Amino acid sequence: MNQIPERILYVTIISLFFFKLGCVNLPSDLVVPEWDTNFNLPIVNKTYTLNDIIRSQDYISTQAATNGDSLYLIQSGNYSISSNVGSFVQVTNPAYVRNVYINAGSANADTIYIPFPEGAQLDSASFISGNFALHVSNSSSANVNLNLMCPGLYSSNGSQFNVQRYISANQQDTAAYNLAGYNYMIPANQINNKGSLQVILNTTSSLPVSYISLDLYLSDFHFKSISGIIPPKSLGVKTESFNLDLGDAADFRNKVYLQNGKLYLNIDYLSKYSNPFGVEVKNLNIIGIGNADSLFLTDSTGNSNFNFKFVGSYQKLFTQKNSNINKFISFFPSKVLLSAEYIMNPDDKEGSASIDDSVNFNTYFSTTSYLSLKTSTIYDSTRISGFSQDDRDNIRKAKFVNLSVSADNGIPLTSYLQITLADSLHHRLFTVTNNSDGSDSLYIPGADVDQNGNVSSRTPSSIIVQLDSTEIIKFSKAHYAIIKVSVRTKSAYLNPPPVVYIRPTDNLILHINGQIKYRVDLN
Amino acid sequence: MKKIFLHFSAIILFTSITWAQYGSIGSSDARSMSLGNTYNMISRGVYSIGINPSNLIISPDNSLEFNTVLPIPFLSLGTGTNFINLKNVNYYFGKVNDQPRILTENDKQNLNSLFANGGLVFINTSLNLLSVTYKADNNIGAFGFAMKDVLEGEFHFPHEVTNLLTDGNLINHTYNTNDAKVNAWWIREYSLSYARQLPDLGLKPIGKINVGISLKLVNGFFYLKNESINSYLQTTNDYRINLYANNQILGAFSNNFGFKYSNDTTESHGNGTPFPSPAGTGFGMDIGFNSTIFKVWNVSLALTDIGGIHWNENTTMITDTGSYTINDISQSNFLDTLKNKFNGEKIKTGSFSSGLPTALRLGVSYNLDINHNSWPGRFLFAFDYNQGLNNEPGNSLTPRFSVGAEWKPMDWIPFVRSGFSFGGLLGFHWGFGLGIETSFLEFNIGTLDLQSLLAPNSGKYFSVAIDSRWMF
Repeated sequence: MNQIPERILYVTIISLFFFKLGCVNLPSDLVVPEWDTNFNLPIVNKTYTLNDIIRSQDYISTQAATNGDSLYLIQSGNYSISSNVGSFVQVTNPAYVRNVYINAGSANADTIYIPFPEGAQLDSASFISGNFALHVSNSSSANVNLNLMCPGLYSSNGSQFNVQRYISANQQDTAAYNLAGYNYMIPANQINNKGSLQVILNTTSSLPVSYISLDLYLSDFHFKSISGIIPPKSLGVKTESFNLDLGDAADFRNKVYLQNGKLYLNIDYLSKYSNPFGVEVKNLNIIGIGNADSLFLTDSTGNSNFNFKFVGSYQKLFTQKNSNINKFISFFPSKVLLSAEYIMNPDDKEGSASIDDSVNFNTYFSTTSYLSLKTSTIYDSTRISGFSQDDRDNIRKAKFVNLSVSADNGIPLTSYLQITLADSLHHRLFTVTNNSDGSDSLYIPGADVDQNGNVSSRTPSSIIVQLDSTEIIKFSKAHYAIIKVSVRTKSAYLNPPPVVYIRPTDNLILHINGQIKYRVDLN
Repeated sequence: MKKIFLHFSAIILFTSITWAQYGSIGSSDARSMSLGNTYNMISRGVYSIGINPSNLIISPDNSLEFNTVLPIPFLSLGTGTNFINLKNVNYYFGKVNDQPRILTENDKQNLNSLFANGGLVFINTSLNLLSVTYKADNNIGAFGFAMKDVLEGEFHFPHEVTNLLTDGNLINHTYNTNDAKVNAWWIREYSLSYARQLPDLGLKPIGKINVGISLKLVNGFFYLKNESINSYLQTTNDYRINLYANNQILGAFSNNFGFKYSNDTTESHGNGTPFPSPAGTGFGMDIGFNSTIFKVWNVSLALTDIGGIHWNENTTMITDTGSYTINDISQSNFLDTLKNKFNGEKIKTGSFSSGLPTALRLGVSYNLDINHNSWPGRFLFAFDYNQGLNNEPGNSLTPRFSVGAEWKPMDWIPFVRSGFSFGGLLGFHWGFGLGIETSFLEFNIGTLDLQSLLAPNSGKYFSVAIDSRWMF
């Protein structure tokens, strides 16, 4: 009985259930919606110190200053040139004694003195070469044996210089000897006569009286070393040069006006002896050779001929007070020429010298960071590595892209910033600019400086660049941002330009941020 | 980013939930679901296992019950989240003029507001492979055996991430992911139950007390639980992006899953098998009592899933720690550095233990028809209090209360059931269902989310359960 209403009920319930399910609005084709969203990202966040701008390299360094800060130091290499003084340690003009008559029949020895060439006075010497010559004329009727000995001359094996000659009656005899390898030491009994060579003559003859006549010559002494007095001697005008390799610092040629320049000139007489001869440098010219012109280093009066004497060593510091060194360094010569006449032993004093002695010129220059910079440009290529391909696709679909470029300039240099985006092959895409005048550089004023040239406050600046649709597509292809920063000091083209004090820690902080509004499409 | 979004969307939209008879917030059979997940004092026979084993004794003497896949499998399905309903799904993911919807600013705001309370996604799946109970009589007692698989997962999608997706990375903003959570496992439980009636203790007005116990062998196949999730993405005024992560997720995996540690360079392949080797093994116990008060009120008290699992195979701490600041995307190796820094390193760790989802269950029921003869048909009213005692999968420390009633006015009318559930992890639910009972077979159908059935486009949860029980 009850089965019929029960079935009706069940059918009704089940029908209602499915009817209700039929009202469920089940999504048939689900798709992810699309929406616009903003993507803010830092593209470039860099701090450019002056080390970046004035590229730190071999010839530009920092130098601790007394206040704990540091200064830039543009410093040349250490250049050294030397002039040999070999021509000084020689006396070549002939010196002689002539017509010395000796009784060959006398049993006593005769002592005679031959002056050294050119008035040299020797305490000791070592010969490379030297000429000792004699001419004997025997006018007697007896044969004569002549024994000539120099007590100050010794061969390398210690034997005295000794000459034996036999002169027949009424004959003449001539001989010449090379003193190569001989050493000279002034004999003890000759201490007050350093200018002559002592010669002792012993003769024998069959007759008690038989005179002979002698001529003795000394010439062409080339010493290996010498102690004594060599008369003043000009070595002549010598010119030496060195190439000045300043690396990238040379980029600043004609761009900077430097201050606090210094040129150090060290001249050393290089000798193994502790009592070298003095040197006079006459008319020293220091000439900077540029690409097409040259510049003389002058003193404060404009004189380019420098004269000085020294014994042992000499130092000369050219500063902006006593020379035109700032101008000279700012000239950034590619070659420096040194020309001077060297006079050895100008005061005719005792000394020692050797064939190996030389006069060595050692020079380098530096300048610190008081400068006026006309224009210096750095290029920095930075890779934009943070974009995935998805990101690039989204950028391509971007509704707008704003690039916010902000700079905080702590360098007292006016900067011009140019940002060029490039593709993966470094091909230029476009240059970021918001200038309506067609220029493509962003102007960043330099930090304010006080009257001493010190930075008094940083200078912030910012611009927003909105990319147009063409640029957005190019931006999506950007793999590199090529940043060009040109800097110069204010009024750098005045003469003389005002200078500012720059430190390596001075920096330019650059932020480039992007705000991209794009359509998210995940389908 | 695209993949994350798609995966996330897929989880939201296509998650199927089979309510597990596990923990304080799991549901069970169709009847209980109809009653708003009220089951403590009304579960009987095979449905008592895992709820209150003492209820086994309430079955008739010399009765045998079992459920299996025939004639209707023990099946409970559901889908939903706590943040989006079908109407919103249609709105946001439906087409407009055959094109994807383009969200306005208001749309984006509304979408974000949906996640204001976090983005919870549930996966609770259980498969009752076999349940058998037999009651001899009150003195000998009742016996039960059950074998079931439980796959449970609870995922919280961080709210701030939706803001990040829709609005982009706003300047000077911090996007926290601290509300993210993961808590999941797959376990297989074998239980043996016994119940009997205690001698009358004369504790009037309390009637005879029934007591039951279940002993469980638990095999765990995987386990994932966050120890800490503390990460953020922060943007600064100068467009810098600070990333910070301190995430640690504890895990263990069966050897059959092909798990590899980060520093393991050997080849490893998983193999699909319904009987994987366990990554952890544990033991558990349910203990329960029931009785009557004043002869009319039936009262049930149980403490379930006391015990734990010791995980010792492929135990790992999945770690993401570190910080990174994106100052400049032109930094060389920027992307590589970022990937290397936050790559979820799987570090080998020692064995560890987790608890079972221990829950305290209190239930009261009242049979109106027995106590009021004039009431037409059979009427049952029940109240439950379920309190999870830990945060293991399937459990919640938030107490859950429920009330439910079933009525069968006449023999030819099926059981009509309804109930409400409050608290727990998901809050309010309105259950409704029907039951048909024959002399040896019972069919039940129910939902825990009648509101979704009545207004399906507004419902966030959709659930339906059907089952059958053989009774001899």
